[in-house]
Amino acid sequence: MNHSALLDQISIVIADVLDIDKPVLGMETTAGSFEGWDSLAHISIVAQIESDFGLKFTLAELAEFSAVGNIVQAIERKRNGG
Amino acid sequence: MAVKRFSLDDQSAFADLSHDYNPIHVDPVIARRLIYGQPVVHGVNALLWALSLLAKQLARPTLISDLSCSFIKPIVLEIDTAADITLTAPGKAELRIRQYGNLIARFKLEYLDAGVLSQAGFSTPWPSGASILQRNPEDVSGESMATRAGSLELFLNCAEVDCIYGPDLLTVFGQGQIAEIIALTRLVGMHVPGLNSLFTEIKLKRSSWVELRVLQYRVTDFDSRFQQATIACRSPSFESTLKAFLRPRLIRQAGYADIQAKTARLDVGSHRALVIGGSRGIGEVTAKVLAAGGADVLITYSKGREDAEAVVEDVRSHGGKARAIQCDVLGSIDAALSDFAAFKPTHVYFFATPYIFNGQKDTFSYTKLQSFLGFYIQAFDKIVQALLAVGTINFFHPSTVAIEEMPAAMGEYTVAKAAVEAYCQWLSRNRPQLNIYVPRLPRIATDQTVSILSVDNNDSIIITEYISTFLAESKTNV
Repeated sequence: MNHSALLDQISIVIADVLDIDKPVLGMETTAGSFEGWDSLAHISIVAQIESDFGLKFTLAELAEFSAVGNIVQAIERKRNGG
Repeated sequence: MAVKRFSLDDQSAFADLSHDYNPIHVDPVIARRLIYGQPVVHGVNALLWALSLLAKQLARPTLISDLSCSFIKPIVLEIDTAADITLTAPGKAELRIRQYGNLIARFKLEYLDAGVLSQAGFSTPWPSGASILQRNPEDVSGESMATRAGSLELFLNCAEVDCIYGPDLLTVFGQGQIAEIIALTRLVGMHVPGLNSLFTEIKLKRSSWVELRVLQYRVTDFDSRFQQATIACRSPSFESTLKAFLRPRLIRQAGYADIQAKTARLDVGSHRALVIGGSRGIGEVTAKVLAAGGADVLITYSKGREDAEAVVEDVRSHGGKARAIQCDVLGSIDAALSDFAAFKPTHVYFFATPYIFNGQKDTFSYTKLQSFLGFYIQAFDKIVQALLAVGTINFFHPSTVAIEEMPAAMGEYTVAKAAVEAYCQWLSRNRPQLNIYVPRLPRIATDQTVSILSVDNNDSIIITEYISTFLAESKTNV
């Protein structure tokens, strides 16, 4: 799955959690771009991504999730055995 | 769309109905020190309100086959709370709760309406109250969370339900279903996670009827990264899965003896220090640091009398000088001003503040700005004017690094603090005899900065560095 497909899947999660239309995401998109993306929403988004992709992020990875691109890279690392 | 404002009386009524007496919902004094800085509505109370509105539309006995609830943000009191209901398809509805136009809670419901009156449990009368009334929530640690399991008796006071929500809720959804849903908030708020809970999700499905008089529960997962428990439940009609956080515990500041032992002693033996808002947080630490340096300290509190008395007791029991008086800086302040003037403080430290994390990313509220300004400028100005008359000239009024960082959801707070800086500059220009110190404080670990996600907060003892700078610049009234 390439960046664009991952971004698309993440955008579906964000739309569902934040109850908004499916957003157009870039690697630089941050939580600050969305009104409802606070700490509780962040946890819900992460948990849903973990469930959808069948993986679990470490605390160190979670701490780096300042932009959507960080999430994409963490998913790719995990899928590549990182 | 329906609109209501939840009040503290509504909270008490729902607590009596559900027996969920968690202080974050019903105790304004304790709740002011918890994560939302104020009491918030029980999520299940909002759910039942929304269901009562849906009941008016359905107007026939209805079985819930599937219910998904997301409690997204806290529902605060005395704010217009809007509920809108969308019938998305036959037998399906979505209910949304909003404050300030922002989504606070979302409920997705699937339901059946045929032959329900004969459904087991729909109209079964339940005991109207619990055999044991428990008012104090259990304090469950993260370590013991994963092993928690048990059962809660089911009961329902129908007269109280009718009084709170009107008769349609029970007529349409029946006693059994409502009793089973209400038990969920009691489970989370009082037992698991109990005292430090934050209820975020219900996923409930109709299951084959079982002859139970209880709600059975078992923690199936505890995610230590987020301190989040997943709880599986079984009641007569439903299988449900709940998610709830173990929210951060109350922030306790360092004790006087600790401060004495670990910080450099300030040379303030001749000072009379007035600490406005000294019962907790940075004000509490400031009071202890100054008392440890020998100052005679007068602290004020607004609502937290017990907190203030604990600070005073801590200081006095170790030989320091401190006392406390009540002062609501937005209320009738004249009596307190007389006490302040009689005390003739050499230095004033101003930490009175409302809850600061109440903003929205895309909405600027003039009402919230006015509230901040009422504390930071109006009240401070009254105190300055009153104390100038008795010769007080040294004032510590904290600003914030938020002015540089500009957090997205703290617009009103940040603008108010910028106004504080401008006001203090203006004051200094016109009253050159004054020494007003307005440092931009970093994020410091207090009740106000606690968060579900771990954040980098400075230890509150860092305030000592700012006090030292203030004291170095202090003036002596001649």
